[in-house]
Amino acid sequence: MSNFKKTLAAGLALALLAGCGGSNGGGSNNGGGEADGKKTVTVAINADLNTMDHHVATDGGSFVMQSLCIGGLVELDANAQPQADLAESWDVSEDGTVYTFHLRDGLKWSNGTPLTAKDFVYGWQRLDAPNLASEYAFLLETICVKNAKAAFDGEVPLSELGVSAPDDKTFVVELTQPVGFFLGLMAFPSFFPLNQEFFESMGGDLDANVSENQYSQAVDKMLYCGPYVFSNWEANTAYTFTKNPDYWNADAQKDCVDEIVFRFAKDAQSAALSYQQGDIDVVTLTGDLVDQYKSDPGFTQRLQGYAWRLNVNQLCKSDETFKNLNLRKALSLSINREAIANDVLKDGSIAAQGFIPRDFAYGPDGKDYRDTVGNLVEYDVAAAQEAYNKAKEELGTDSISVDILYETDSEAPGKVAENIQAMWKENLPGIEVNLAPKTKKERLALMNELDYEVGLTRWGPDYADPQTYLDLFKSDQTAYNGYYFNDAYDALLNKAETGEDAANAEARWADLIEAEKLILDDQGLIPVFQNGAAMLINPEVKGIEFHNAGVDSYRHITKG
Amino acid sequence: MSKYILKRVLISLLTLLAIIFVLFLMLDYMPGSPFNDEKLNAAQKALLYAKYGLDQPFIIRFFKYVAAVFKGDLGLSYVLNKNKPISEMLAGPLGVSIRVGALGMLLGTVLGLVLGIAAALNHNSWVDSLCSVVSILGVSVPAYVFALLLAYFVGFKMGLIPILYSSKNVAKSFIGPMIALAMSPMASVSRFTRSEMIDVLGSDYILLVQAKGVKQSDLILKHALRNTLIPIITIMGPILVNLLTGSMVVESVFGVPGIGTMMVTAIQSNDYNVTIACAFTYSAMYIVMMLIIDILYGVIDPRIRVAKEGS
Repeated sequence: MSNFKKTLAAGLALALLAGCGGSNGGGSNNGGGEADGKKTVTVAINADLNTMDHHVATDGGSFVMQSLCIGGLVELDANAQPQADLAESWDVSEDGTVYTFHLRDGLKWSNGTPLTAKDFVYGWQRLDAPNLASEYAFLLETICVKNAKAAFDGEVPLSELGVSAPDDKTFVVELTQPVGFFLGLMAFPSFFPLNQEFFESMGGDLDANVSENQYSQAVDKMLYCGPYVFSNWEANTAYTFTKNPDYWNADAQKDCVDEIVFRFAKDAQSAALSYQQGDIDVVTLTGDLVDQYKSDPGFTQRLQGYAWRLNVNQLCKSDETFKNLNLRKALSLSINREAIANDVLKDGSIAAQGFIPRDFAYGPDGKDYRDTVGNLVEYDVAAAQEAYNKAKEELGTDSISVDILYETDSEAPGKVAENIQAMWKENLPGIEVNLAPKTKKERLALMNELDYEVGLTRWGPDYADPQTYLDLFKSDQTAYNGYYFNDAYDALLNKAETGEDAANAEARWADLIEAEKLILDDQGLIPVFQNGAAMLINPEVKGIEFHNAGVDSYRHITKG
Repeated sequence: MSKYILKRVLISLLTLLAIIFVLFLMLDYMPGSPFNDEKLNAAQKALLYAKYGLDQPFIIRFFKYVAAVFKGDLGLSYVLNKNKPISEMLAGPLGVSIRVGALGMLLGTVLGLVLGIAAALNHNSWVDSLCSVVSILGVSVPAYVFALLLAYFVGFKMGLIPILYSSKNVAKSFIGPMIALAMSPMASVSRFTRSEMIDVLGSDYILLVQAKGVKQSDLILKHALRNTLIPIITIMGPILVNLLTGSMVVESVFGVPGIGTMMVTAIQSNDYNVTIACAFTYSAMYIVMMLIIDILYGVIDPRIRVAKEGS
């Protein structure tokens, strides 16, 4: 009898453990469907939500969700052009240094409080607050807001930052010089408004200790003003956004889906299977799944703004050979970039044609930067061998060895490094090439200490202008690009950014082009590829807008 | 008995303290920093280090942390869930992991016992061979392979269980991970049960019980099983460790929001506080389990209790 009791107890314990969440058998459960006539789109994300605090966020996933439920002065349209959002219109002073935004009538936060220009002033001040130490505070400096650096360094109070609200509907930004890409950045979450009263009621304070601040830690601890509101925060699992009836443009949103769910699924294969079952509408595939899903009607490839390159460390302590221009030239000329993009990666990545990627920055004439400049990097084995032989002669040695440092957190860098190794060995006879795989954080640490020979690295644009890339190699940059010093390069960029050409769009563009050509002639870096992403998108889902510089928009998607 | 338990609890607490120290030391030597954004300059990094107190010397940080832990404050996350108190972050995932893990262990143990007894009773027959094959598979195939197979065949092809965890249907969502996690404990338990049972069944006291004419089912369950259980309880500790490490991958396959996934991400991104909190939780769970096992020994076999009390 006692054994029967034990079995019963075990059985009950099992039922208890399993049944805690309460079950509702059968049926499609998480999204994808149209239960109760509600249209839901479920998007699989492979990195969990990091933070809903838009002044603290640094990752794409968090920015996407913030853009959905908060909003900026403008938003980016499908062609990445800024369109009016919370601001109805704006004026720019003749010298291009003062932007006056006119907010729409009747804007309000989700708690009913009116949204005013003061909320923008407060938001921008918080972004610059030294105590917050926001990793994106540098953007204020990039767009040359008056006193941005001085306030961040604590030299002047935050009230001296060049932003003001002469009245509730007018927001004024003062810049120290004209900035061509200023408007587009106004769609970036770091520049979204923040209501001081609400923020302080959550324990927030521009000078306060972070641990007492509850702001943005739960759906009811933040305010919304975007087309959606954050309605359900299931930590580590799913993040649900529902339509905001109080959004200023709610009428135009009536065809958009009622609900967007971001589902955290670390395993891409599981997410792809769920997609096939119809539970998930959007999945980003890893490289190994591309062949398997290539024929799916929802298979989509997109180009991203990430430009991958090799840094050749001319200040390498262990090996001085990299100071030799001909050696660097040989390394660059012997890489078959087309093969890497099309035969190795196969995920929509394309061969690099220069330092600046494609589909991201457009000149004063509206043309893609890359189309204006054309291809600056070649694959030419004969020329590579000629340069290689010259290099060996100049260096007075026959044995040249190169270590390639790359990260192992994702699959692509390893594949690329291995192929570059093979190409160099094949095209440059006698060269010794070693692989140095590390985790991403180790790679960054090594590169920051300039303790590497050749490093495979990437850069994602912060804004739609070549400056976001070219600035990396100015002489005053200390981090892992700190091996490159060229006065002519610095002079060109200074002329374009703050000097005589700053206000002249055409002349500025020409300077930037010249700077790119200069650094590539110097072999200051070796461009490799621009990465793409393979995705599965339910063909019924329309209107996802991918932005190579800036945040992808799920604000206006429809289904069916 | 209470003195014995008290002593064990004290030793466990000291062990945990030592574990925190070692974790702290190891993280200090990990390469990289929690603030890996390539856009950060040196001044900003210094600001961030100062903000989270990471600019202080190792020993001061360690004692501050231990003092905070005693107050129930596990610190803030720097990367995973920026500025969120870790005690809040951990609560939900920990509950989920414990439930899935306990279910897997329970299912595995019950199945293992059944298989082991069946094999022992049918010693050297086809039942025995079948049980051996099952347990060899269970031991040698990693849990995540079972997870992938379950997700693909039972989840995708047959549509019987959800592929990804859904909070709206927790019970069903737990089936896949539970079975995947149960395989390894099942295999170990069945092998041990089989060999112990064969030993016990051949012993003199069983012969005596048989001679007294006790029913076969009572003989097995009441007399033989009890002695068989002792070595099995010993292996529960290592089984639990296997379960915990295996659960990280199983959780990620089924998208279960447990602490396994959280810990892996935390380690990868140098989120020191979260890593320590997760590792600390795992260690605490392990130590508590060992404590329970020690106490269980005494309950099942009074001889052990007496011996330990005497020492």
